[in-house]
This record gives sequence, C-alpha cells and structure tokens, in this order.
Amino acid sequence: MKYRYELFCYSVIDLKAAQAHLNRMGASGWRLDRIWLETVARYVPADRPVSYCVDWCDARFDENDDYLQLCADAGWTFVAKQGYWNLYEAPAGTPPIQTDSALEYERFQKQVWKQMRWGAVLGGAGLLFLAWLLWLTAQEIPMDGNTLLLWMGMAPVGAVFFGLSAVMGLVGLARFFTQLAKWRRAARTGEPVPDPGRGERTAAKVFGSWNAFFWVGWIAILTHCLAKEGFEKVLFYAVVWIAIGIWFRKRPFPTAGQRREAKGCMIAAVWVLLYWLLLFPVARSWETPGPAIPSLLTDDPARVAAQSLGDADTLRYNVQETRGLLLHYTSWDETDGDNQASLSCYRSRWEALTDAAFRSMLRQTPGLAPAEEGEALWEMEEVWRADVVRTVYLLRTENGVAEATLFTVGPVEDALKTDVIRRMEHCLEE
Amino acid sequence: MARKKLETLTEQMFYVLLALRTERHGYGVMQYVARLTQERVTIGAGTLYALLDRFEKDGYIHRTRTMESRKYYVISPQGEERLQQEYRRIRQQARDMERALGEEEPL
Repeated sequence: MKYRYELFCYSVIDLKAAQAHLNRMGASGWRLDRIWLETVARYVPADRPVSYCVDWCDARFDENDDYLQLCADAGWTFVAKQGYWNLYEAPAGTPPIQTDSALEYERFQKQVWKQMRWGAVLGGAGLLFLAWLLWLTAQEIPMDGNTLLLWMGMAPVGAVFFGLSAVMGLVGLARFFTQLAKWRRAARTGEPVPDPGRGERTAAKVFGSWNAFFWVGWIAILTHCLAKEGFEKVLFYAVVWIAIGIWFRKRPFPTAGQRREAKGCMIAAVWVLLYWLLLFPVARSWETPGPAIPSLLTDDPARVAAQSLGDADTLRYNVQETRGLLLHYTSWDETDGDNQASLSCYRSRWEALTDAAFRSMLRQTPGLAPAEEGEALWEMEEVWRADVVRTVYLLRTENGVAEATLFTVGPVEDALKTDVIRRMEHCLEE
Repeated sequence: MARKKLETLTEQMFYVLLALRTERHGYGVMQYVARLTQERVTIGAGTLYALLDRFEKDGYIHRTRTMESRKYYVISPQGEERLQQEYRRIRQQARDMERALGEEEPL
C-alpha cells in the first residue's frame, strides 16, 4: 500500500483551511487514513473522489448515535477526531454538513472563545512570570548561588520564549479577528464561508505547526529544568504522563473530554521521550562547562578526596554543582591541615550574566574592596574568632566570577594568596 | 449573525417545519426538502440536527419515536401556528412585490 505522510497541525481558528487542504488532497486522489497524535496525517490512495467536512466537536451532537446515523444517511462517515474537530468523509459532491452560515458563525464564536480561554489563562500566567523576572531584575536583591542560577538561567530563556509567545499571540489575535470578520460577512450574506486561498492555507499550516512546536518547546524546557540531573528522570516523567493517560482512559465510561485528556497525556509522554532521545544529549553538550580544577589549596588532584580523607591530604566536601545552558555554578568547601577554604564559582557564556553574578556576589559580602594587585580582584580580611582570620577574594574575568573564602591561623601568607588566586584564575579559564 | 430566538425563520427553518407537517426522521426531512425544492434548498446534516434540537426546545416540534438510531419528529400546534404566520408573511411580501411591479408598468 502506498502511503503519504504530512504534518497536520492547525490552530482552532483554521477549520476551513484544514477542510480545504483535505479536500485538495481528496481531489488529487488521496484520502485521509488516520491522524497520529493529532500531528501527523497518513493518506492512502482513494478509489473514488472524496470530499471532507471538518466540524466542531460538540458533545451534545457527536456523542449521539442518531447524529452519526443522520450524517451517515446523508453520506458523511466519521474518519477522525483532531483536537476540537471531527473529520467526516463523503463521496465528492455530497452536500456539506453545515449549510447555515449564521449557525456556523455562532458556533465558530462559541467554540473559538472556549478554546482561547485556556490560551488566555496560560498567556496571562506567562506574562505574570515575565513580570516577576523583570521585578527580580529591578530589585537586584542578593541571592544565593542556586536561586541566582535559576534566575539567570531562566530570565533570558524565559524572556526569549515569552517574547516569541507574545509575537505569536499577537499574530494569532490578528488572524482570529480576520477570520471572525470573514465568518461574520458570510453570516450576513447567508453565503457559505469562502474556502481559503493558497496564501491563507499556507499561513494556517505554518501558524498551526509553529503552535504545536511551541508546546513541544515548553515541555522540553520544563523537562530539562526538572530532570537535568539524569536521563532516568526524563524517563520517569514520561512514565508519569503515560500513567495519567491510562488512568483517564481506563475510567469506567470515559467521556469525550476524558478521552481527549488521555490522548493529551500520551502526546506529552511521546514528546518527553522524543526530547530524551534527541534533544537531551544536544542540550547536555551545550551546557557551560564547570571549573577545570578541583581544589583551591593544592595543584595535585591526587591529593584531593571527596567526603573522606582516605589516603589524600585535602578533604573536599559540600560540593554543589548546577549546570545550565548559559551558566555553570559550582561551590565546595575544603580543608587542608590548618587551612580551610570554600569556593563559589560561576562560569558563563554571556558577559552580561557574569556581570549580574559579580554584582550579586559583591552585595552578598559587604566590605569587599578592590585589591592592589589588579582591577579584576576584590578582597576583604577580618578576624573571625581568636586567632582565625577570614579572607575573601573575589575574582572576575570575562568567563565568570569566583569567590574564595579562606580561614587561616593568622593573616594569609603571600605565597598562599598567590597560589589561591592563580587557582581561581585557572577555575575560570576556558 | 447571532439570531434572536426565532424572530424570523430562515428559508431552511421554514422548510424543516414544512417537512414536519408529516412525521419524519432527520434524513427524511432532508430528502423531502430537496425533492420539494428541486434541489434548490439543501440542508446539511449538522445544520438540520441543530435546527431540530432548537425547534424541540422551543416547542415547535416534538419527538414521536426512535427507530434504529433515527429520531422521528412531527410539528406541534405551536410550530404549525409559527409556520402559518411565516407563510402569511411570505404571501404578503409576494403581494407587495406584485403590486410594486404593477405600479412600475408603463402606462
């Protein structure tokens, strides 16, 4: 059997464009066989000319046997459900299912508003989130490393994503009002809504596909944020989606809405799995790398041990690492004989993010002053308790910011200071 | 255009009520209207279903029985009155048109 596949993604307002496309396929000898995951349509050669009708899902109608019987008597056979639409097929030349343009206009308004409500809720939530990010930026409040990372990692991604959403929302709104005017004109004249032209059909297809991949992008970003620590977590989220889907599906006598929700969960699971297989490794390879050396107190990695001294001399503990596409954050504490040190290090691909991290760290440690050694270094020294001195160095380069805190018996010796600063520079090197 | 509750009957509404002066199921109505108007007026299955639902709610028709997933309807006295009222309006319109055409006749 010969098959033909294509993306079949349309937004709620483009009912007539979807119908016109199916009719063109029908006229060129292809009939719709099925639609997978509301995204990919499969066509098979038609043995007779067919035409299509795309109608709104309406529980009052399409769940009644007598409605389906009436459609069947009139020549229309139900083929597939696509989101908010039912797709019917009939021999070419069969009178359409909807013949009253005034009633069609009423249903268009009702159904589109109903679907757009969710878009408005999500869009509103997105704008609030963006406003919150902007507010955080304006406040410049000191934050700890992970919050800062989340903010700095999310702010640009969020801004780009919400910016795109805003553009898409505006384009969608303009297209909605254009469509509304067209349907209203048809209702006034009593004529059928005219079939969209080639340009409009293409616009509908591009807009619908972009819409679908917008949601894929969302799911991918959320999955990456939630499960960046390991592949198995991504798998876990996919399984959760599948389980929710099965739960919806297996309820006794599921309604059309529950069946749709079940389908939605399955789609989300497939996207998560696709993301896991295809995008996750790419995202991982794009992550900003962490510091190249594991210690502030020694150049010899063999002398450094994590959590337990063992044969090593230097203990490194409380190691925290958060990786992002734009920023990498590492912190650890270590001890070597009488000396104790801790490091907080940000490495970033963007200088603006490095600046933000630097300003935040400067605010978190009052008393830091530019050092004599160079413009990139700030330092602060204070008596911590008895004979223990706390010394803080803040080093800023193009690639990042590192803050080292040393606890030593007496002031830091020049040799140790030189070594520590050299290792901090090494941490921030490419 | 959002229509007020059956203030006026559209052509399709008129023919549906007319068809239901005899008990019929949905597809029977479609066939009858197409035959009566010589295919000039066709009523789609979705449109008809919505109209039947609306007429039933407004009390213009009532369901008589269901057989093999087909619902049968017949017009109610209220629906008959509405149909007659529409018929009188259409006839009046036709008479007005004829009179207007007569006045335009050259003397």
